[in-house]
Amino acid sequence: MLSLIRIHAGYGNIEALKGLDLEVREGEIIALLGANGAGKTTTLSTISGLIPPRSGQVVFEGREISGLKPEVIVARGLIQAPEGRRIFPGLTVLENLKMGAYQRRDKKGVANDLAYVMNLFPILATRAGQSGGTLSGGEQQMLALARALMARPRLLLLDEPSLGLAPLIIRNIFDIIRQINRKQGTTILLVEQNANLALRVAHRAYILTTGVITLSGLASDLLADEAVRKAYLGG
Amino acid sequence: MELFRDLFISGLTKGSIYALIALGYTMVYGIIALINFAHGEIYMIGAFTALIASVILGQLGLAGWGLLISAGAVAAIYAAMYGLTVEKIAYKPLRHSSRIAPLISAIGMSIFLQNYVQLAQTPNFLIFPDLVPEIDFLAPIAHIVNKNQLIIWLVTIFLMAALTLIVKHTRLGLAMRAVAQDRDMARLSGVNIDRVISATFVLGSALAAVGGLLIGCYMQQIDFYIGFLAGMKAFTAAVLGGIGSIPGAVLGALVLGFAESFAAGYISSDYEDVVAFVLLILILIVRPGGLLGQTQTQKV
Amino acid sequence: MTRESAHQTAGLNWKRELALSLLTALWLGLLTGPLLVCRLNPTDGSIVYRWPLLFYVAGGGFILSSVWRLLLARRNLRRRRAEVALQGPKRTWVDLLLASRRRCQGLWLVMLFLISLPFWASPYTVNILITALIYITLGLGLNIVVGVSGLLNLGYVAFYAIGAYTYALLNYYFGLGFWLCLPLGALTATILGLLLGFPVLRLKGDYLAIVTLGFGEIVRLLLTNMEVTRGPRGLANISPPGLFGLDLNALVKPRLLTWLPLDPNMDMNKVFLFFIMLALVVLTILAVFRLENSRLGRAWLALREDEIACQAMGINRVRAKLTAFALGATWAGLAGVVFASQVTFINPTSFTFMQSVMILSIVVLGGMGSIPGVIIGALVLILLPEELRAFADYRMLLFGAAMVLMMVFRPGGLIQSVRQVYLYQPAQPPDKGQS
Repeated sequence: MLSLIRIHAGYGNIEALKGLDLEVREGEIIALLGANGAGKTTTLSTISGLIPPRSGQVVFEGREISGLKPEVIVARGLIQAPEGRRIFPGLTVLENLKMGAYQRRDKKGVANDLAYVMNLFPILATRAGQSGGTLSGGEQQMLALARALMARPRLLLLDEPSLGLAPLIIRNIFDIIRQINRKQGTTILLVEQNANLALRVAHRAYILTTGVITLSGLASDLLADEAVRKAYLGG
Repeated sequence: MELFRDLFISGLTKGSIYALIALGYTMVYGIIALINFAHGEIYMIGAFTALIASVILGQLGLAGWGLLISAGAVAAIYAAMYGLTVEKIAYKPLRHSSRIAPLISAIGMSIFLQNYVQLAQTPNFLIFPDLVPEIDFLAPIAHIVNKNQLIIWLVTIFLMAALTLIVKHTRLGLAMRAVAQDRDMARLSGVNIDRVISATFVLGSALAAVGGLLIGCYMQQIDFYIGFLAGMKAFTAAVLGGIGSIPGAVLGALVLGFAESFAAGYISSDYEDVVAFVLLILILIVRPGGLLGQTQTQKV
Repeated sequence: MTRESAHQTAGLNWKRELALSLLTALWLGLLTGPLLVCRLNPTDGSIVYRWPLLFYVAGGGFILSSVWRLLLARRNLRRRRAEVALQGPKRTWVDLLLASRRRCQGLWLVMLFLISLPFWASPYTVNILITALIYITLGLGLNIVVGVSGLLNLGYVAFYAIGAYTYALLNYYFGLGFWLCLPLGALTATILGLLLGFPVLRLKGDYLAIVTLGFGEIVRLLLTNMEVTRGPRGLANISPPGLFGLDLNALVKPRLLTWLPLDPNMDMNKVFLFFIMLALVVLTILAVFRLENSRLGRAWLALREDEIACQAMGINRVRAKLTAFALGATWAGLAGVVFASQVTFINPTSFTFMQSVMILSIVVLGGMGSIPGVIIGALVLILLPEELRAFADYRMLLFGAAMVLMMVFRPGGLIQSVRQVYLYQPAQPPDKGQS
């Protein structure tokens, strides 16, 4: 569904990705792991079109999307919930959700999806009229996820959903991630620092080290791997 | 007591005009963090275009309310066009540069437009006909509130309501607010940033143009320089109320209008212009974010 | 490959470019139609239609649009390439010229030339040069505030006015002379600089800009309306600088006329002022140069780059900001005193926002933070309009356009201040050769 072929990308004088190859097949949950500064967020930014790749190709559903504007990429169904939640602080919960569905023209479908996500995250229904900035970290993450879902994504990019959240909430969110994938069939590319969590929910995984993929394979295999355990799972 | 009443009315009128101009400043700043120095010139161009339109349309047979409204519409459309063009030429290429480059570019654009109108038209002032028809029911209190003042208030209230409607209840308004709060996230939500920014300029310019038409009718004369002073004061008003905040711009404009009016009446009319800047410095020392601004903490 | 990327790699698409230029020409014609074509007569309100202008606009618009898009595309390409190639701003021939060893000799030649100038040039030339030197001083002063420290000051003319008015007032009411008022004017301006600095300490970039703008306007309005400054009538008969009370014209001129090709209309007081200004500029350049390369100067640079990092590094932000403001004001004050004695009549109209814009342009367009840049900028901005007298009406129009164009295509200014660029190269592994 999504292929990254020898991607080189970066900011200004810094090259963060130095020949990245990655593949996501339909229906999968792929985990992208790595230490801080390895280039995980850069990868997502490149996919979403915020940063144009210096060389290489990004192919989504058979068509090349490298160099396209972000709004075009979003229109193709490639939706990102970026790092740090990025809730619009001055907009209400409801308006945030509407922003998720910004490009959609089917009012009925949007209304249905609104009901669906409110069901999935009841707390959002309670806080529908509150402004996004007043929500707690966990609530914001749920809102971010719900907002992404409002776009009916064909491929969902999640950047560090567990960051800064309490363990119980994290478990809740990852349950929902699993649910979205298993029930709706939504393909997910999950970037995470919490390797343990990510590997337990993903089908396959890639490990990114300073701009290149150093390891890849089935999540279950990587979980059991000695080197991986030492480096990312605390031995 | 009569003096107070008259000063109040005159302050309210001034404040309304400032509000129409200040809204453009605050919206543009909110969305691209730029002080649009050329905005005052857009206001002036609106006034000039309204004048030309009124002459031509008058020759074509229009009169009364029809003439006023159509001249206003023409002025608003043209001002919007100018706003779009200025944005495309002087600001868009500088979207990813330093803080000072767009500022200099804006000042340069302001100088360019001022001189453009001065050369194209005339350095002298032009007589502006009072296009506002007589309002009969106002006759008994005409010595307190004249028809121009009433129209200015009504139009301002109407336009502000319309703007609020657009900003709070339309898809475009939602996008504008989203882009102002988090531009990259807005892009990730599928918003076309260029279009939203252009729309912001269009709205702000149209409002300023209407202000230009109204001030022309009220003062019955215009010249190429009116944009400069009114623009600076309106911008001061926007900063006063909290730059980036639409209610803030209106509040700041009203505060400024009243302050100027009362200062001119009770202290001295010579120092009327100083009021704006003194007020600004005072407010910013006490509340750096402006009256309705939020103190923003910078994360590092 | 999709259609979008095919277009990106195909390069020029003639039909598209043609269509865009045509549309732009149409748009510009429509846009400028009312204001350009329909000229209102101020006396009777009638309209004179000047249709030919429309065709000029359309034609010019067509050409300019194509040129604009071409230059813009080249600029973006250049920037992207420079980014990838890990380069800093390129050194131009001017930078190389300035860095060369011949530089000192060149500067001596320039100095000799300037010193000799009053003895063979016209009074008009000398006068213009004094103005240029004044603006160089102003530019260098503002450079400290805006160029080096990054503090947006849009009301710099206020300090200039303070200096000028200090001398004018002291001379008018108390008869004090130039030499006494020179330090006094500078002092007054410095004090005001500090006074302005205090309340604006906490303000962020754009707020600072507008407050300083307001400050400049306040000063101008106060000068216009206060009785003591005689408002728009101004202050006249300001004495030029004296040399121990000697009458230079009577004493020196006749002797020089016999030896040198001196213009008989030359006012020797002006010549004296010219030399004073020349000395002042040289001192200013030296002072600014030393300041920029001192600890304070580095603190200023840090302030410009990242204020919060500054604080984290232990740099006293307050002290740095205040000294920047105060020192900047000092030079404006000095320049103001000289200006007052040059023109001998001042009133508030000499100190408007446009002046602040001019001085700011000298700094920004000349080259932010670069001393040669500011000097060149001042010379260009003062001397060029004099050369282009034929276009006097269009001067400001071109100036405004120039500001926009410079920012779009060369935001670093004419002479960009090139900082040391350190390139990171991974260490070479030690030679494992068998010995």
